[in-house]
Amino acid sequence: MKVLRLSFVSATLFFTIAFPLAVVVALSLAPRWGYEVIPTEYSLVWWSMLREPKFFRAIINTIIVSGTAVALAVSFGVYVSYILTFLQFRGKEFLSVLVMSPMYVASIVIALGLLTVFAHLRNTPWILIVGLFLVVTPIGFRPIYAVMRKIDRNLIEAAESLGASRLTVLTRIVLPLTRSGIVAGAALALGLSMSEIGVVILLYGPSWYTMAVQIYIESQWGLIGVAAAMGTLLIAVASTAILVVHRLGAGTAV
Amino acid sequence: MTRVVLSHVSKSFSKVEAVKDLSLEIQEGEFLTLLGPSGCGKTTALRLILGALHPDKGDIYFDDEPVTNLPLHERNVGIVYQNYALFPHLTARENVAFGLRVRQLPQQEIAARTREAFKLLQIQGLEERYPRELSGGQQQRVALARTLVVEPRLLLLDEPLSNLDAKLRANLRHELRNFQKWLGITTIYVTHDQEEALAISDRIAIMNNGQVIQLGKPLDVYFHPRHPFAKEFFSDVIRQRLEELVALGVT
Repeated sequence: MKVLRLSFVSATLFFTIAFPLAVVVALSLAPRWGYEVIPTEYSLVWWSMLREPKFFRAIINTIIVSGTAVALAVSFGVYVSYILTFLQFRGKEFLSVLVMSPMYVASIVIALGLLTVFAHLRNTPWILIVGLFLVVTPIGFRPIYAVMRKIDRNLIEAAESLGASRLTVLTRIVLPLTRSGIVAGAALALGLSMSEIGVVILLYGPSWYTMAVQIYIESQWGLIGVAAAMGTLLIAVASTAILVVHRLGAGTAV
Repeated sequence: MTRVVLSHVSKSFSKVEAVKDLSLEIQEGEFLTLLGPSGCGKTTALRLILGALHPDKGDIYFDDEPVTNLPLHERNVGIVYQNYALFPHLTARENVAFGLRVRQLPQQEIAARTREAFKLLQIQGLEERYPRELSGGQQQRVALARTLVVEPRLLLLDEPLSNLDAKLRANLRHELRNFQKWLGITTIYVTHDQEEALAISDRIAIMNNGQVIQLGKPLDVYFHPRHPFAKEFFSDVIRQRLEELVALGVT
């Protein structure tokens, strides 16, 4: 029974994640791929096309735009979590639903709205940052709030009784104790924002586009190999970014 | 040394009146216990004195200085909780030094006073441990050191012994009392344990339904319960004692 269960889980994961990924990597390395089960020849011809400046630009843009959006989303997530956890006010429930709401709305619909409201920001990084911020805020906020709300109130009172102001309590007690949630939220948000296409597809401009957009464009042109090479690179960049976040956030576990 | 006065203090939570028109005076250097069953308002009263809650009505004074609206972090009141509430991400030393750091005292003074506190509570050698690496009794001492090192005007104890085993509890109770007398710090102790209250206090305030129903020296309160509830509350102790004696074979 246990073997059956395990093989079911691994088979599902293999066919939904590992297999398509392996195919993408293979696609990026195969100059031709007809009806063979696996490609018959390999080369770096698609990869060498990535030397064009537009691809480099896409990578840099993705890092700038996603990095900024995630930093903003995580800061905002910390702020909202703090308000929800430690302050008493009417409409608390409403606020917590509101923060999560972008999750329930199709991101392309959000993009449509932003496009109209922030028309003057077209072809700047800012419109992409705003769009990605909205998309990743719920994902980034969730783990932060989950960790922060569990902090023992006695710790806060004890710190205050020792003379710590609200701000000191926040920086010395609340933030360090929320670190695991902040790291998890930032990692999730980064992964999501770098690969997000729904909101980006409407908001990108001639000089401000991302890797995900470039993949879409190349595949539309029929350059599946280039798209696959870019896709492989995107996964590598996103994984590295997530790893860096975990490394930066590493410390004594609480 | 601080004298604490509560004058006609009331506090409600939504519809429940946790503390009703409570007036109480705690003398300088006194060890006063708020005793009562859970829900009697003793913890609310403690939190009002701490400043974690603010009264709906009435006033609180420390040495004739009104503190009713003074925020928690400006009251300089020390508290030790049942769960000790040590900062889990800080070592024992950093926990004890916290209040001194917040006051931005010079490094040398922080180090010296922290060392002194560890010595006073006989917990030297535990400085670099994290709270999760300490036993209940050790955490209790670190928590006490953290509170006393900033020399608070007042010490509040919220059932600080009830998570410890019986033997350790008796020892620490004794030690706590000696300590308090030696420092002469005004102390308010909250417990539901009658025996503990009888053993440790200068005076006991028995609370029920948000009010103090009897206030006096332990033996007076014990032998001359003035209120039916006080009588009932203490007869439980007597019954427990008798049961213990029977269990020991004394008949």
